[in-house]
Amino acid sequence: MDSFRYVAPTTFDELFLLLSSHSSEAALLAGGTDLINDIRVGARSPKLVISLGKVRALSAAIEEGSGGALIGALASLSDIARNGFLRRKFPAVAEAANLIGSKQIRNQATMAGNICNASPAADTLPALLLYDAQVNIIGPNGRRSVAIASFVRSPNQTCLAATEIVESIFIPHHAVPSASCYVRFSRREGADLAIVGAAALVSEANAVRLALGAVAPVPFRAREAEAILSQGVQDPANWERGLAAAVAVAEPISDLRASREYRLALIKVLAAEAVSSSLEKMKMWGCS
Amino acid sequence: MEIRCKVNRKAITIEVDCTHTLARVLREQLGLMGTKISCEQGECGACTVILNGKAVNSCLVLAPAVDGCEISTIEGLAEDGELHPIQTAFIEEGAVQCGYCTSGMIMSAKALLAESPDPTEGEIREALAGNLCRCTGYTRILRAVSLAAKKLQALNHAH
Repeated sequence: MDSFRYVAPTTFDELFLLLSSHSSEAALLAGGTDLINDIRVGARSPKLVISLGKVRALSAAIEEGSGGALIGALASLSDIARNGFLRRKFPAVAEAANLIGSKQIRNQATMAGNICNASPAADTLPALLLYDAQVNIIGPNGRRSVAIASFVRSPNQTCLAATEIVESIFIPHHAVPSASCYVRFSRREGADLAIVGAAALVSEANAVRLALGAVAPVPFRAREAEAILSQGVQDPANWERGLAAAVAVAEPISDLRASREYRLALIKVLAAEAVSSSLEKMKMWGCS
Repeated sequence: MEIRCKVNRKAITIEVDCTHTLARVLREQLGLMGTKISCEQGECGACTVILNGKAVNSCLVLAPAVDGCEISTIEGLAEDGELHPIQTAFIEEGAVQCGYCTSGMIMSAKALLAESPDPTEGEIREALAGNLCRCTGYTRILRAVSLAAKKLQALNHAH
């Protein structure tokens, strides 16, 4: 690997000082499962790697609150995937975390890292979009919160300034009882990225939310499909129209994993599966 | 830079190049060649070690980041010349062919069995999904982990 210096600040003050003086040539290290690979293949060549692991004020905790769940920047995907509160209240989020990489990867990787990497195929993004999650950001000038939908700007680009970091992710409770689900299709479990990912949420009020990943530059909510599906999923004509609306807004590319046409065909299958599974969960749980 | 950590229960202080990975330090500086480097991108699991109780790909961990951590490698499993029950289970079930993936498989199994002593087949498959074997197929490996679970449970009852 290219040469770089490594520092592990313990306070926000030290961290922000480092970021302010080295911002253009520094890389932040949390789980490292993306960064180390990027450095190794030369996709990134930081002069300074700043580890976040010893910053005392950064948390690895998953906090249950009356308003929702607060996921610390250092919480691992394993902990998120296994957290009982998340699995009950925000199942799509826990399921998405559990589909990333292998057990070894999930033990290291963080959800904050997954959203900061801002891959078009990032599995946690569709799930977080369902719940209008908030990204809590901290920098030398203080804190701010950004809706997850505006946090990711374009592939691998977020709205973070060079001196800012993600402190936590807040997922507010859905107002009415709901169930959700994240499904994806990939060539091999345990290693590969999503060819298409779909997250759905259904609520007692029959409202449907649908978010898609890996079919556009950034994961997004399929709003028109949501509006149509919310008019009734039992009516077969309406169901078909809703799914078609999800396909219509996607703009997938062809790459080594799949062609554009294959992805378009998959959207319908996975969106249907995500909504149906969420409806099943609602029935099974008798609404939680 | 200098780091302190525990490797296979032994506290050590070691000077590492901060651009090196844990896998490289284990093999090249500590001579622990049981940890294999294969894909070097976190997909094959041959370099799996246990870091603070969790299975990780040591090719994706920077050496300086393990300062203050506890690491177990395949070399730490046998005690007093006696193979660990997971190792004997792999031998008895014939779960080893070329052997390159074996240490990673066993370390993943070790982390799994520490967390769930009586795993379902689904749990075993999930824990080993990040460990690739290119020769035996996985049937015997899955059987070996089930057998190891039984052996460990029997041992725990005996104590």
